Parts: sequence; C-alpha cells; structure tokens
Amino acid sequence: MKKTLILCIALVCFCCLLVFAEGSAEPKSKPASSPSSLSEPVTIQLLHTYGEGSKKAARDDWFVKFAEKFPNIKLEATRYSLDQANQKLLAAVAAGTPPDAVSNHYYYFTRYANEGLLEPLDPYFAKDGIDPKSTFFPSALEISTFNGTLYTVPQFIYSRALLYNKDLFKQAGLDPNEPPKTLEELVAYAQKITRWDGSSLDTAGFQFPRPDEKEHMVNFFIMLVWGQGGDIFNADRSKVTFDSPAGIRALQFYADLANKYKVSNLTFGAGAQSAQKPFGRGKAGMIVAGNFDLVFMRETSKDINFGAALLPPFAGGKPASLVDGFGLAMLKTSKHKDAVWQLLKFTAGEPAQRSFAVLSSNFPALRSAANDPYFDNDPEMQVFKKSMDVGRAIPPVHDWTEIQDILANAISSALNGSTAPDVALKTAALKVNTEVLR
Amino acid sequence: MIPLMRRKEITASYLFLLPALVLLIVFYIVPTLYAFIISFTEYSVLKPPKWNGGVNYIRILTSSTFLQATLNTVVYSLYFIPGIILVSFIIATFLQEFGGRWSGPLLTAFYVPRMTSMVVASFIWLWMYQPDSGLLNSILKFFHLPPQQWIYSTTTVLPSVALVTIWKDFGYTTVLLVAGMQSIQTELYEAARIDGANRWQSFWRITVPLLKPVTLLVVVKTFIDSFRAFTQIFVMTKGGPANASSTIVHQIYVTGFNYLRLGEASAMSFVLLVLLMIAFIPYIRMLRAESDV
Repeated sequence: MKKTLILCIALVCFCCLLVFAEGSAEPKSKPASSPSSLSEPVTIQLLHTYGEGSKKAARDDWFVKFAEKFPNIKLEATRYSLDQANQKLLAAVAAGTPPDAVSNHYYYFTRYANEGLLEPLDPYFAKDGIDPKSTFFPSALEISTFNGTLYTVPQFIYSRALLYNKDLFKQAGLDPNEPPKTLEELVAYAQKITRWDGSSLDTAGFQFPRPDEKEHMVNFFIMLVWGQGGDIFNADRSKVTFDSPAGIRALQFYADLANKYKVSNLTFGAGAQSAQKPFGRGKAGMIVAGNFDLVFMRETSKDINFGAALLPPFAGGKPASLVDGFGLAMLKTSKHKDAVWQLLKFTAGEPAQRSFAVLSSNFPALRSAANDPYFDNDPEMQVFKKSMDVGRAIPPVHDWTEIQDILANAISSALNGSTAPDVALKTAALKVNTEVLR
Repeated sequence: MIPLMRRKEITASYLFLLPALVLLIVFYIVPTLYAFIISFTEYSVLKPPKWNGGVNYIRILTSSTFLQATLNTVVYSLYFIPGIILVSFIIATFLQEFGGRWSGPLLTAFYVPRMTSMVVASFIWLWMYQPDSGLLNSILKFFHLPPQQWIYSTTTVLPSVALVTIWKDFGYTTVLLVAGMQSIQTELYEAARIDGANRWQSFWRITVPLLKPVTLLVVVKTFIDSFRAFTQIFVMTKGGPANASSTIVHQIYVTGFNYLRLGEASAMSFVLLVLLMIAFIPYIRMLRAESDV
C-alpha cells in the first residue's frame, strides 16, 4: 500500500510538472486579423499606469476621444501603479493571459523588447506612410527604439530643470529674477539661503536628491556628468564610463553639497508627500524637478512664488537636462493587432498627443503638437521646453535597472561619506562591466 | 495477509488524507520541484527556460551583492532574535508575576500588532521614522536629544527595521512564553520558597530551565522569520540606503522581478534553504539527544 501511495504521488507530481512546463512555453504569436475586421466590434485590453494626479484627467480624455473615433473598438483598460504594472504583466504573460497593449515608462520596454515580448512597429508605420523620424522628437524616438527597431509609440516626454523659490532668494539678498548660471554660483546662493535650527536643518539652500530617491539621485548625477560633456556609456553601450574624470568630478561635487557646503542633508524631507515636501512648504531654496512637478506645485503650494531655470553647468560647461518618457506598445501575442495599431496610431497623432501633454503638464512626443500656446505662454513651461533642446535620454539598455541600482549604491555610499567618490564609481563600473554587461 | 477490516481501515485513512495530500503536492511539492529545475536555467518568464547548468549558483556565490545581502540578513537576525526574546521574556515574566486579573486583557492588547498586516505596520513606522517631523524624532527633540536618521542611515537601518518586526511580533512570542510559564507546576515554586529561594533564584533555577523547550521553539521560529524578512524592507527601505538593508529574500525579489532573472532568483532561494538547514543542524541534534533520553 505504501509503495502504491508513493508511486501515485510521484505520478501526480510528474503530471503537474508537465502542465507547468507546457504553461511556461513561449506564448504563440497569433496572426494579425484581416484589415476588414475593424468593421466588427472588437475588445482590446490595455494595461497602463495612469491614475494619479494630472495623468488621471489626461487618461480619461484619451479614452473618451479614442472611443469617439473608434466606436467599434472597445478598450478594456486596467490600471496599476508603476511598481505593480511590471509584475502584473509578467504574471499575465506567465498565465497565458497577456493584455493586447501596455503603457509604461520606457525603462520597462527595453526589457520586454529584449525578451521578444513586443511587436516591432516599423512595418506598421511604413504601411501607413508615417515617417517616425520626421514625426517625433529625436529624444522621444530614441527612448522608443531598441537595437534599431521601434517598439513603442512615445506617448509623452518630460525633462528636468531647476526650480527656485523667489521669496527665499529675496530674503537672502539675492536677485529673484537671476537664477544661478553656474554650479559654483548655485552653491554660493544655496549657502546664503540655508538655515539651521541647532543641529536640525530648517531650510535647505539646495535640496539635492536623497539616497532614498534612487532614480532621482542617479538622474541628477547623470545630468552633472553630461553638463561636462561626459557620458555614462561608451559609444556601443558595451561598457559604462561613469567612472571617468567627469563622473568623479560630478560625484565629488554632489558629495560636497552634503558634507562640505552643507546646503542640505541626506534625510531632509524624507517621507514627505506632495505639499509636505520642503520646496512646497517654502523650506528649500532650489530643487531639480520635472515639468510634471509644476502641476503639484500649482495645486498644493499656491503661495510659493517660484521660477524655473536650466540646471546650470560647471563654469565653462553647457547646461544639460535628462529627458524621460512613457510609451505605448503592442504585444506580439495580441489577437487584434490591427485594432491595437489603431490605438497606437491614435495615441501618436493629434489631438491625442496635444491634449494628453497639456492636461498632464508634459510634453508631446509629436513635433507638431509642441506648438500649442500652453508651452509658450507658461513661463515655467517655456524653460522646460528649452531644456528639451539640451536634453538627452538615458539610452535604452535592457540591463538599465540593475545598472541603476549599482550606480545608486555607489552614489549613496559617497554621499554618506563611507566611500571616496572615485573608489565608489570605479568599483561600481567594474561590477557593471564584468557582471552585468558581459 | 492483512485482514479485510484492517485493509478497509487503511484505505479509508488514505482516502481521508487524499484532499490534503493533493493540495500539498499541487501547491508545495510540485512548485518546489519546478523552482529547483528552473534554478538551473536562464528564465525570464517572457521566454521559455534555457538550461545553463549551475551557472546561476556560481554567479550567486561570487556576487558581492548576494554576499552583502547574506551578511545583512545575519546582522538583522542578531538584532531581531535577542531583541524579541528579551522583550517577550520581560513582558511574560511581568504578566506572570504581577499581572493578576489583568494578564488576559494585557496579553490580548500585546497581541493586537500581530494581527495587523506587515504592510500596514511598515507604513505606520515609515511615518514615525520620518527624520524631520516623525513621531520618534519629535519625542527626541522634546527631550533635547539629537534626532536620529533611523532607516535613512546605513548604520541604523537594520536595527530600525528589526524594531518594527519586534513590535509587530512580540505579542505572539509572549503568548508562547506565558503558556510555557503557566505549564510549570506551582509546587516547584512552593518547594523552592520553603527551601529559602527568592524570586530571582526561582526564576533562574526553575523558570528558565523548564522553559527551555518553549524558548527553543521561539528561537527557531524567530530565526526562520528573520531569514524571511522582506515586506518591511520592501515598503520602508527598498533595500537601501546603499543596499545596507537588502536581505536575501529582498534580493530574490529584485533579481526575479526587477532584473527578470527568475532562474537566478530560484537558485538564491535554494541557497537560502541550504543555509537554513545548516543552521538547524545543532537544533535537530539537540532534539534527538533529548528524545533519546
């Protein structure tokens, strides 16, 4: 009886393993439906991350306009937070129930493209006579392309600049209409604005990104490198070069902000949300922010009199900004590719690009939509628009998440003084070049 | 030859076991076997697994990140285990000696954090740990003491996270210790009193030795829990600052879901299993020695 039982258990285990193995086999790509099928109702599923703040209004407008134009295409949209969306997509793919389309930050798409999950879009653009190079901004196109193939339709892009509190400038005896033009000036201004209450920081002259703001911290470091003409990857992206003299100088400066000039500290504002953040409470003279922050500032911190300027470079350098964006992709496994392409094409064109960007305080990826008066009449948005001209995107590299983590740890250890900047960066670069980019 | 009635009893027993057995096989044994198989593959979920031998294990054991995560887990355990045992012992002794009719309600109150989810507890403590306006630094400021960085410093992050887990779980370990103390015969304490032993001597010579089995159970359970620490780290620190709070389970999550290397993440989980088994060898030997006696 015991032997029979053991044999039965082993047989059940084997059968279950077979089922698992079959379930994890590559999902078969279904052929696209015929062009004439769009006259019949079809439902497509979209996984997206738009649900908070300004993007909620932009999302609702996008869905309504799409439904008006394509009444036969029913969009079943499911929203997850940025952290969850990736996991939910992986779980859906593993379960054999992937959505037809995904909208997310471009960092994720490089991974999906690398794993063969996404449908290449070049043939679709070519079939409809659309030239992506002349249609989209170069940085928007760059973040949508992986290994020379276009995988996503860029939905919107955004950049970074310096926001400064004009009232704190006045109180410190500085001209509120003259933001710093070099990083050296920024330090001098910040030191005049900084206030301490005993051993506690009351007002930060320049609130730099903290170690718990990992992505923000890495982006700031990268802008400091780019401002000196340096780079974080070599030409073919086979190695990282953030341990170059430009990188070491950038990190030394960053660490000096905390440890030498003491214009902020590593925990100032930690845990604060929205209006509680120091800049929103008038407790920070300057911050590096994205154009999307303008929406929050205007809604929750109306009494803060602030201005925008390009993040200044070191003396003799050129201003730099970091461009980011969100895109919309089609999954290879979709059974309704033509319908999904209609969604992608609609999202890439007017009026979707214009209204999404204006409603969410972002920039359209579509060149023609950037001529909206909203971008030229708003003084702060004008600055962010200018920052697009000096803006670059982090190249889409499918290991970027891991590289970012390693770089963030190096920056963090230099900021808290436990490792010298050059040692931190060289150790991190060696780890990335030998363990990640092999 | 087994008599018919006996065979019918045996068959009935197995049939009663069958539903639980099926659940155990489908939800525990098979996934574990599958995880073991994919630990020898390159697997991202988005593509079928590709066999790569023991490369994942070599990569893990030579990875400075994984080694740091292992060290962090050990350090976290060294804060958590003695901390929770000490706190539970003190409270259990207090309740036993002085609780009286308030023991029950107090024990219930101490158990309440255990019933909250770790996610909720982590968010509450995240607010309390805020360096500028959090409750803890506000209290320190009130007493003119210097503010602390808590989870925002590489040196204080692990004890700060351990404190959260201690707060959440000490009720459970206290209940176990109280139950153990209540099972000790009162005649032993009476005899000790007659012999002239004071409270402290009774505690050390009677309570502590006779609580050994329960204490060991508590140590084993807290040891397992400390090596499984993840939720509080994911919510409060994301493994930072500078990977100072990244534990083995956190690394498993990051490697599997952020880096899309599920094969390597599976391998990490089996390395964790081996580490736990090695740590349990002394305990198993002790149990065997006690059962031989």
